[in-house]
Amino acid sequence: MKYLPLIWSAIMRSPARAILTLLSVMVAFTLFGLTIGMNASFDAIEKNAHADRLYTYPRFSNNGLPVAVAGEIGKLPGVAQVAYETFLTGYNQDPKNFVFVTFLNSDVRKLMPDWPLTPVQWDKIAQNRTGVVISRVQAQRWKLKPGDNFTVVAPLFAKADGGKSWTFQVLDVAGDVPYMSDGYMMGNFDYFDKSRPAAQQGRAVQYLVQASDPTRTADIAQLIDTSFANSATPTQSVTEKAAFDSGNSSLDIATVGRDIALAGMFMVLFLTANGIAESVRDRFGEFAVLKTLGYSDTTVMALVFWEAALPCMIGALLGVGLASGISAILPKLFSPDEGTPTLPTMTALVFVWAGLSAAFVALASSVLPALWLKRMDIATALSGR
Amino acid sequence: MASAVSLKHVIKSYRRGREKVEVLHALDLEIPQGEFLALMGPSGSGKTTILNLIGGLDRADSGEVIVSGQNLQCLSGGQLAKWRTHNVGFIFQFYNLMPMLSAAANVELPLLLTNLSKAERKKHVAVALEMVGLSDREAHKPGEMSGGQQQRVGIARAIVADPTLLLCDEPTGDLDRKTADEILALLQELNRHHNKTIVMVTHDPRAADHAARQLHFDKGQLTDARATA
Repeated sequence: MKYLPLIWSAIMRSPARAILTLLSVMVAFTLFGLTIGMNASFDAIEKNAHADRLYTYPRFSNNGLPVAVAGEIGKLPGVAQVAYETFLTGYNQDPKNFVFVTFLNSDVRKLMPDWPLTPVQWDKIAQNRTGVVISRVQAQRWKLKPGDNFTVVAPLFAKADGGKSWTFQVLDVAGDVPYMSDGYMMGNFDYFDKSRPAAQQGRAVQYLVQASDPTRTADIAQLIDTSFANSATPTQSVTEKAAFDSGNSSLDIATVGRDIALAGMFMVLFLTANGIAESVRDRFGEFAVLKTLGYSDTTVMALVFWEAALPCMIGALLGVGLASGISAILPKLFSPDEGTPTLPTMTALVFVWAGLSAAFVALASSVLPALWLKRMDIATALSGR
Repeated sequence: MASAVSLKHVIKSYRRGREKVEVLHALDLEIPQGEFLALMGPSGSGKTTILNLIGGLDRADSGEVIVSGQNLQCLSGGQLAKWRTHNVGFIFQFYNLMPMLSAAANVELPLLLTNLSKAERKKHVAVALEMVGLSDREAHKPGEMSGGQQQRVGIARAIVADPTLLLCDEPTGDLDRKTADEILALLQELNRHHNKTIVMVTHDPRAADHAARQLHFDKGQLTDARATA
């Protein structure tokens, strides 16, 4: 602490350079904070995935799989439970107002105990064929409350009578599911299925499967796909863990984010290293005087480290602080119509990473100048040779 | 009188490219405690090398360099740094102050290496600045002071840790005559009233006249020694 005025005076010797370095570090750490925050969000979603669940879809058809497939999957060894669901897409009043409704078979409630629907709300879905339970996000978006009617025009989903207008009554409003950022509307599968033309009936788009042994979920997924490979309804199965792992998609967002953060760090490293090297070169004589006065190699090297570390630490703190501010503002920038994408979560770990990275950048950028000073011949440096 | 500095058969050489140049040839030198000594001679005569050896900034190739009873040849780099903090004060021709620090902060630099509290350091700095007559300039930065004032700050920095030995390398070389005389008078006062042993390198015979003894060097050898009035 007693060396702070000495360190600060060295930093402020060139205020323009100090401020530009600070701004660069701040911008890099804003980016760093946001990308690491995104990864924290992905990690949290992945962590919440159930190890014993998997999803099965038709491999080629957009028209779903016959519900009879559920029975066949249920007979496979290692499968504990099977449920299924299907979807309706359409719009409310204007084609721009996209609506997505999920229709659940009665067994879904057993497989998805983590969904925030109360037993009463599950019962309501089972008992009210034309009703839907909606999430808070959807209630806010469409300004709906229990008892309201809501009409969806679905050009691709005709009823048996040819009508394409589906009216649902809001049964209740339930809590949101973190990974369903757009919210949800959940209705009764049997009602939807029986309302469709006979040729379209008895088909489900997605099967929810529970493995009896959570360590063998991936094997079960493979077994299902192998069993149906040569059937009329080939399947594609994926474990919930894999589905929620951002690294499993064709674009590995977590890795891309980490790479961007790393690139930012290297940019800051080169910038800081260049700045500190230039600063030490300019003040070689002054360091020689300090060593003459009795400052040891270690003390002088520590001064150089802190001269690099202070702008890095302050910049990192401001940058991650700005990233936190942006993360707090982002949800307000999305209208309910658009839904909210996965946003950065500024956990304490993000701040710890930022602090460690700033310390690393400071250390790496001050190593070379510190070694110059350690090897300095005081008599030669004082003579200006 | 006990020796403050004792150089015995000191040999020192430097490399200039492939050539090895011997600067000091088996030099013997005794400096009693409390003496004000001027080292004179042309450039390259070895006087600054002697100062560097006495100050523990450089090492002799052979021989003994004993300062305040300590053989400096036996100390490591870290030990030498610590030793300098408590035993030697340096005064430079171009003052070598930190331009961004105030006079008080510059004077405080050697004290940061001690265990003194902030209040104690402040007290020591105030005493040192008062001794050099700059109490009213403690908040001024070097750029806001004249050359003479900057050299006084340099002297205050040299004496603030109360070393017994002051090493001055051309302390008046960058000053006008009147200011140089004031600085030399200040050094005399430190020598006479505060019992500091002073070794001063100078080209200036008038500056050397302020010392009690003058030693003249040429090509690394003592050529003349005379006492001043």
